[in-house]
Amino acid sequence: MKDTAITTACLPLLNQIPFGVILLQKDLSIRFWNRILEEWTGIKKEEIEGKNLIEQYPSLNNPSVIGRFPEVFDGRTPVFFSSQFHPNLIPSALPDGTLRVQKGSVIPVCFNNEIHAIFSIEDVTDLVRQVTAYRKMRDIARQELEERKKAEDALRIANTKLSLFSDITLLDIKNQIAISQGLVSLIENDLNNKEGIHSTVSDIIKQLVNMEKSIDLMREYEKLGLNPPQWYPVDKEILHASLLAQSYNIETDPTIEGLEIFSAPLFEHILANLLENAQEHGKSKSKIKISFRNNEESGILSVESSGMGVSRDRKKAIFMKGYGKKTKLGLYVSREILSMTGILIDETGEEGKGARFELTIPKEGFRFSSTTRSRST
Amino acid sequence: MDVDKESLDAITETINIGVGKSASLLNQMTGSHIRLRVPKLSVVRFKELEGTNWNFSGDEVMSTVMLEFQGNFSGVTAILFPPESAASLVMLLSGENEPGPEMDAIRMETLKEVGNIIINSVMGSISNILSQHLSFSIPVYYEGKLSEVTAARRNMEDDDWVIVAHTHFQIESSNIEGKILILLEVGSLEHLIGSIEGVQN
Repeated sequence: MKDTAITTACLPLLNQIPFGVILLQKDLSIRFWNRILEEWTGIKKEEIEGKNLIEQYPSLNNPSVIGRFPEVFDGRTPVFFSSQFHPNLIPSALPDGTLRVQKGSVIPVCFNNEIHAIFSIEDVTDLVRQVTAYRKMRDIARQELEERKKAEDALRIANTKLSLFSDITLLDIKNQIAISQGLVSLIENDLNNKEGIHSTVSDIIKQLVNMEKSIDLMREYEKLGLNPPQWYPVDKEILHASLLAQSYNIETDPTIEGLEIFSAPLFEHILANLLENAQEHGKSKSKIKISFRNNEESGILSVESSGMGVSRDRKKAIFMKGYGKKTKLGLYVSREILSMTGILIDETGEEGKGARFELTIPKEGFRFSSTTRSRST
Repeated sequence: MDVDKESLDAITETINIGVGKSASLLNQMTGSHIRLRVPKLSVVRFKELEGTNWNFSGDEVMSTVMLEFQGNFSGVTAILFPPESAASLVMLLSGENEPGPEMDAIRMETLKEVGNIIINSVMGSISNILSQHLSFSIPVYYEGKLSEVTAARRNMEDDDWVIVAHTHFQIESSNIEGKILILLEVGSLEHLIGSIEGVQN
């Protein structure tokens, strides 16, 4: 394999090939500049032949391009330039004003019995655009697939929990019916005791109200099984939650601007429940502050109030089933629903200073809407 | 011909000088902190190549950059990467933020340039020791099993020599592995070892 030999007579052939070709002497002066390069750059061969390549294109004068030419002239080794590292070897604009993306190679040739180099430059703009478009499509498809998988997983968990919730709630209703039946028997056995009847009827009404609440709760649970988790814009959900909890003294920190959280259905009820609990454990008119912080591995949404807070011995108890339910959901159910998308909930406030409910959200479970993303990430 | 330990050490050092030079150029090009080294080198007969301990399976599809050379000393130099190493290396060197192990056209071209830089430096070191010019073909990128890569050298004889340089690419905290294979046609190894001994003496 000897160096390829070319003659002056061969040079016009280089005008026929569809990429840029420069014939270079060892001192990097340009011996030949082909027609494609004239087209790309607008520089005629008469204007550039005989001139030094580096003087014409100073950007090439770096170790990764010109620094490798001795390999060609002295080592007879071809050199290859990829579009990733050298996208604009001989800068030239396309009709739309963008620069052509190029790749190149340099091979040694023997011209007039002297070692020369052929520097060829190929336009790979279309290829790069196609690969870039393919990558975007692939990423979108991959993201959609991940979201679908995430939603399916959450729906599966939701259905399991739903079945559990339904069993528990049905048991509650059955107990309430048994209590009511017992109370009716009391009335039947003592029909002349008007005062007793009045009090027992009032107890029966309480049981009926409880049953109604249980049935309402079951209806809400049904939503968990019907709808997959979704992205909730936190600022809008706070407004919704404040109406549900009738809690209007809320201060939202700028850190939640554009924040979206991936949660199972009823997220607005969960927020309402947190507002209600923050209010209950704070001063009567204390402001509830809602903020967000990003901790690399997770994001933390914090709902806090100042006031007495939650005593140490009740921090776990407040998350137990049946503990305080003014709105539809209690903290127990809220915790169960949040866990479907990997969100944890804890009370981290200091007794005597205030209550603080924190949602710890996995990093794939929160994002910022595109308008605010650049500022927030 | 037996290859003694001293000769092996000398070939390892020659190749290490080459990969060291290429690491320095890649550092300049990419701004990454790259270390390339050849901790282990073996010289085997062509027929023994598939039985060599590769650390990766012979059935695995490799991303390969190959350069043929001729002169008194002829053969082919190939640098082989397991697919995930190839993609990781390209991503780390180019600062590309596209996850995934696929080697698309842009990544192949990038790997071809990286392979070209490494092979040229290694062959440059060898040429210097031989004090003679070798002629090279243009680099080609190929994806296939080891057997398919070696089949590209149809004129290799079973007893021809192959230098297998186990190469580690260390880029900041990552540790990527690749193999540099130099397939030498008959007589070439004696010539190379003779030249190396000549330089050492």
